[in-house]
Amino acid sequence: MAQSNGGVATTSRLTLYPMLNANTGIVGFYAFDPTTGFNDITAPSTHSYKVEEVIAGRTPTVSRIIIGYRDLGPVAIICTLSGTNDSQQVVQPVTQPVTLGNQVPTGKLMTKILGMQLTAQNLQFTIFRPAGAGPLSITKVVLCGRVENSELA
Amino acid sequence: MPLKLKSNGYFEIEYSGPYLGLNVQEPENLMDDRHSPFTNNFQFRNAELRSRPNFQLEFAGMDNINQPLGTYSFLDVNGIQHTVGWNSRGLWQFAPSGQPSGASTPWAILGGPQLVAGNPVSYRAFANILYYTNGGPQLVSWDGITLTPTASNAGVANATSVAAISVADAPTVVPGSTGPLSIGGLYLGELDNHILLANVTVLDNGTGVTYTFPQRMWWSANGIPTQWDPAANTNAGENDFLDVPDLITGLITIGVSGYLFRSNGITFFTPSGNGLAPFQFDHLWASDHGIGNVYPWSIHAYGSIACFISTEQIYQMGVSSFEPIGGKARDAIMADLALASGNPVASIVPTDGLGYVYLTYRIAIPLPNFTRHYIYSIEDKNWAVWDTPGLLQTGRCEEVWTGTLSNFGGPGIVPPATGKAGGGTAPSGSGTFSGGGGITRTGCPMVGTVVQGVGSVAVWEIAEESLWTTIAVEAVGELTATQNHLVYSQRGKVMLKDLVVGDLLVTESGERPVLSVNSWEGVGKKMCVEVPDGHLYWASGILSHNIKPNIN
Repeated sequence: MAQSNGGVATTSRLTLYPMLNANTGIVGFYAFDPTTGFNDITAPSTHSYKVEEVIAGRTPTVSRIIIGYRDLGPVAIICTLSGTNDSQQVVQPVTQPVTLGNQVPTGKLMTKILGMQLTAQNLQFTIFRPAGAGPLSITKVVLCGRVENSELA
Repeated sequence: MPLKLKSNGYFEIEYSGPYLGLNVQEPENLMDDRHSPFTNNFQFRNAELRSRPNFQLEFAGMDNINQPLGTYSFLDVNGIQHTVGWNSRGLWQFAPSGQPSGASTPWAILGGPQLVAGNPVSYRAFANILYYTNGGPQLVSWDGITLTPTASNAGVANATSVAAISVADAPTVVPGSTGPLSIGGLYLGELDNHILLANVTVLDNGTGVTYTFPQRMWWSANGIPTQWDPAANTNAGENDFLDVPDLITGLITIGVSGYLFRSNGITFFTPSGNGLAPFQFDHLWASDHGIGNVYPWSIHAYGSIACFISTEQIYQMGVSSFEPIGGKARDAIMADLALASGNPVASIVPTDGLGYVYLTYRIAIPLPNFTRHYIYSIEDKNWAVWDTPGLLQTGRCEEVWTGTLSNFGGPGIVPPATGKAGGGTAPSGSGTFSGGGGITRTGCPMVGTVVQGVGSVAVWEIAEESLWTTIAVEAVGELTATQNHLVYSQRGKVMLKDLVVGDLLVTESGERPVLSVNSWEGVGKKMCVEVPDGHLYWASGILSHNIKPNIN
């Protein structure tokens, strides 16, 4: 049987994306490459959780936020708590930069408690990871606070 | 319910997976707490909210000029895997053991006929031979052994396609032609040992006339992929679906059945067992308007499942199932599809890399200067959104052998996160660093700016600069830095010179609006700041990034 013309070793597989650089016109094959980790250096990551009323018509105050995460290494994120008020206005959001993770990744679940405080209705928590700010893996977020809960009528 | 409320008013609201993904079709306060009213560049795999893998250039394109149209791996008769790719110049082979002599990329051209630029390639391996076509009048094959692909037929002189009709039979098969005929199509498949072409194009080599049959499926004889002539072998043949008002937009085979897709309908076909009419065709519905495949390269099959995009929904098909999967993300996907600047393409992807399973249906929508990827987890049934800025996808993504060793971490945390931008290193606390890794660290704030690293110590060098931008920010004050200094706004990472009044910047005091932006020229000194871990620092209280692409 004739010998093969070339070939590849079956030691590595990647899902390759044929791409065109819109700015330079240069083409290439890209991959969401898990072997290089989860620190995307080209694009930021944003995630907003659902909007919380707690009790309809009441104004809660969040005073603590607990973040559970897996330690994949150092990552800097920006946490934002936003909401509205009785005057139908958007209140000034509270923003806090946070650094998570260890220089040598442990892969362990860790907990970070933030002292963010906001009094507002329609609370929403958002996490922003700037591009290149490190790998982030959130397992749980808990908003803690108080709300006035006497009956309205 | 995520809310735990005590009688004294203390409450806790907990968010945890498994996540349900993007939801744009319910009010943000009424949706399930596992839904995401907004998400970008996170994945929901394994009930964790994780930043997606780094999207990076793995291999240069074939010739750095023509757009790649796809890639694929197949096994030759010697048991050797080949990874191939296409651009409009033809077929190329990936050569990971070293760059071909004289080449600037890891690709070596095999040749074959030129392909239609802009059309993703349709390919199929059959009996250890690769077959491909992409809308032109040729079916091409390569066995992994010969030096060049085959675009001819040994039984049909002067034909330019594996699928060909002789001069003697051409007038019978395509009335008015003289032959020899070369046959190709937009879509390629295989069922019951027949190679299938759909949305067919035929070149009459005798006259140079090209015939198009956008409603035709043409098949080879059973087990003979070089025999396409029904006048010579009645087991080969073709069928025109002239009773429908639209064109064939895709072809898949699942198990023992095949599906021909039109914009407004699907035709089901199965092997009949009759050599003269080897397939039985049935329209699933015959209405003028109905569920079909409206984006030709959105349809893709993996094992027993297939996915496609219809006018009103995204669907997943199985051997005996048919279900909508757009869920609460459908409206966002359809809105972006309506804005596509090129061909949307989609694939079912089982893994991102060897050992990293993420079975997903991925729709790539090219928009003016980036590609938006909608990622549907077939296991978790959720949609994520990933953007690749500055890059436009030009063909289907495909899992292929790349022949380079992987480097995974320990079980359970596969893989460890080690990504570091740029490759520069900084001695902790020293005042100098060396850049590298193809990224130029230019720019940075003017000397005298208060700088503080986020997560680790910031170090810097002093250098001259002449292009500056000064901004004023509410409750923070002024920052003067080079025009390409990067800060974080609600629009993401933005150069100082590109800010506009009203942009919200991330500052030590929260998000604050920009009050003024003034770009100017004058020789001065800048602090080229480096933060080894995380690359973030505060410059006059404004969150900044230390890696600057060279804008010169």
